Amino acid sequence: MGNENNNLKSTITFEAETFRRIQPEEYLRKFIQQQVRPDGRSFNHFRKTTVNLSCISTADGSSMVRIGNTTVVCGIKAEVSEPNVNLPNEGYLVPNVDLSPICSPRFKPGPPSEQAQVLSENLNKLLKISKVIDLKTLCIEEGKAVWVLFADIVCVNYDGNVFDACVIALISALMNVRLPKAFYEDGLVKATEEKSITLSIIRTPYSASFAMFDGQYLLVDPNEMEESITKDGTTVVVDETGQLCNIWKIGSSCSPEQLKTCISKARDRYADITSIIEKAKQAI
Amino acid sequence: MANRADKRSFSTIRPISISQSLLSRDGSASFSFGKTKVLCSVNGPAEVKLRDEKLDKATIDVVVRPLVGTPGTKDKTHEYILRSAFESVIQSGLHPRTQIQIVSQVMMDDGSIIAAAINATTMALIDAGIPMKDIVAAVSCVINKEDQILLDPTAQEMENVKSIHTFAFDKSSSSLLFCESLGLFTDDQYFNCYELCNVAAGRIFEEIRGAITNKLQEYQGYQTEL
Amino acid sequence: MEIDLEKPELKVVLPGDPINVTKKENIKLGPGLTQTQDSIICIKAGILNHTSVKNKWWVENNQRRYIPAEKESVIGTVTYKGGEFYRLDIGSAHQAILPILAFENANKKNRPNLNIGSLIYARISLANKDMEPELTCVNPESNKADGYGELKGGFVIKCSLRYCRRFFSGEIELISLLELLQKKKDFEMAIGMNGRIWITSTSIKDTIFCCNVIKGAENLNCSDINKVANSLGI
Repeated sequence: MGNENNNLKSTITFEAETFRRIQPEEYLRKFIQQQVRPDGRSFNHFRKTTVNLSCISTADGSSMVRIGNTTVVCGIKAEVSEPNVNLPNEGYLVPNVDLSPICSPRFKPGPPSEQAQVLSENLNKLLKISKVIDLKTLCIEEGKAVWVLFADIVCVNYDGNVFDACVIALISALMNVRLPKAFYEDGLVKATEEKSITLSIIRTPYSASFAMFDGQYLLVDPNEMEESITKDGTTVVVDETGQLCNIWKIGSSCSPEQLKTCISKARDRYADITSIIEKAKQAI
Repeated sequence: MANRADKRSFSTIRPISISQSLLSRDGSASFSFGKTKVLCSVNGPAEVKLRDEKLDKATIDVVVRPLVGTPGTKDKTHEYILRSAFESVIQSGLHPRTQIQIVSQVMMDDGSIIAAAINATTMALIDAGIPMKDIVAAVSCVINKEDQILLDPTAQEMENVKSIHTFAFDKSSSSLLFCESLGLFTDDQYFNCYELCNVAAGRIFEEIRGAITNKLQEYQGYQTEL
Repeated sequence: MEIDLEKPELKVVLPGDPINVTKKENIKLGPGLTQTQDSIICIKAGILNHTSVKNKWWVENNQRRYIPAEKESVIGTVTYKGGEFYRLDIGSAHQAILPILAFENANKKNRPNLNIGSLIYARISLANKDMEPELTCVNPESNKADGYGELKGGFVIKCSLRYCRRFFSGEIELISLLELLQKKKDFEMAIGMNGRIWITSTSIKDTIFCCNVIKGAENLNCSDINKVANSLGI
């Protein structure tokens, strides 16, 4: 908008919103130079994270996680199926992430977007290679029947850092799963009414994500705008003993020192998430 | 200490072979680590679909084709990795409103497939003459049950391991462009793998330079002596 | 074109390689090089070339995709015919525009009549990364057609951009090959810098013969070209 005062020296001024739309990168840089982010956070500040357990009554285990405006819901449904011939005493755990048009206009209806597929694949690898739950405990009768846990994660509102939200939702929903006692009799699986059996979770990994801006500013828990401008992402997953489970880095180049900073910040974040989940457990 | 199945030492990569200009596209190359082989073709800068057109830079489209069957989530993830690794080096601002298409075809998967795909893509982009501010090379390694680091693992060596790591570095500053580490590992193990792969990436850059020099000398032979 | 003879060995560069220039003043950077802050880096793989005249530096490579550059002559096919301009496929990312008035003696009344599929030999008058390339069939120095315009009959072969550049750089073997061919067959050719060579002759048989000779010489070294040339001479 033109500044209509009679000061001849004044150049054209724009409203901040116009500036953001025309020059998003420069807009972000102006904030970063003042050591603050456009949403008012400091570089090291994670957005407010909340967890609600058992929010879906029809699922065998569920949780809803909010990180700032990013909201994901995870529901776990248990079904009985035949095991894989090669692994007759192991059940299945199938994570699936859905980024539907409801969460952001950037996702179109139709088959899952590339980002949704990448999220599902990364979650699957994390569960498999880091051995979050012992799949042998999902066996009902060797070679005949096993539990299949379908973990459907739906993003309700997309505002960046969905991977962190998905990991917290998935792990907390797994903790929340209550299965009935099941028996295998003459080709049939019978289950008790009462659902009381919890899963034996070996490891509870949580992730922390970062975005690097201009090769030197490390922004923790980037929101959608920061993610899309920096096109950079580092995710570090640690477990309760402080061991690393996953490091995933894409985008611009970074140094080992920056990676070390990310790892130590991820460990600090782990403690915060544990206390949030403990609180959520007490709330039910 | 060489007790790997193929008699390599722990910190040796398999023999690399590179060939260029195999297809009638703008650029193509194949890269192999031992038996693992990826063929990559690059077309562009070419006309772009209106839907994908970007006003200030080229659209980079990556397609990964598996050896058999239809592409699944794993191939989509590889597409995402390739695109994000190369978006940061391709000077896409020099060819606005065009498309650079990268097609990566797995020819044989015997471990370290992402690393081979990244290296094949680098070669194909060079062959196509796509402007890049740097080139990328990737190497994988695994940490086995005995806490030994095995560089450039075969498919067999990638089974039953504690962790799997893939690193991609750029040439001029040898800093990290892409990393995927899975499994369970400590900080020290991670940075040991980092260093080992960084050194190995340097060897791959040498191989790439050698391959390019050979090819250019061949072409130079057609020309009169200066 | 003078090539610096002080370094006889091939200087192969890869993208990202920094270039050490000896004389820092008035450097002219050609294809494949770019400036970042205060250093010069290479963005394409190829052979680094340098001339001390005007202190020019460039990278020579064997790219197949044509990137339009001003003042270059190209061969294109008409793909669209509009009221004001034609659209031509010249092998670049965008189709080139050839205004109807960019012909010798053309005006609103007297317009050229080209059909879709016609072959045109034209010169690039405008090349900018953000715009479609523009062509002209008039040589600006003489305001005459000077050979630009529709290419009737004949045949187009596609070859590497480097091969086309070699003809323009006046490589002795290639020129003598053409001279010998000229003695044997009566032919005419036009070389487009976009990797297309148009050849025509008095009969189809002779055109095919000439095409095969020129196409065949692409991947031969100079002594082999001489052999081919000699066999033609007999």
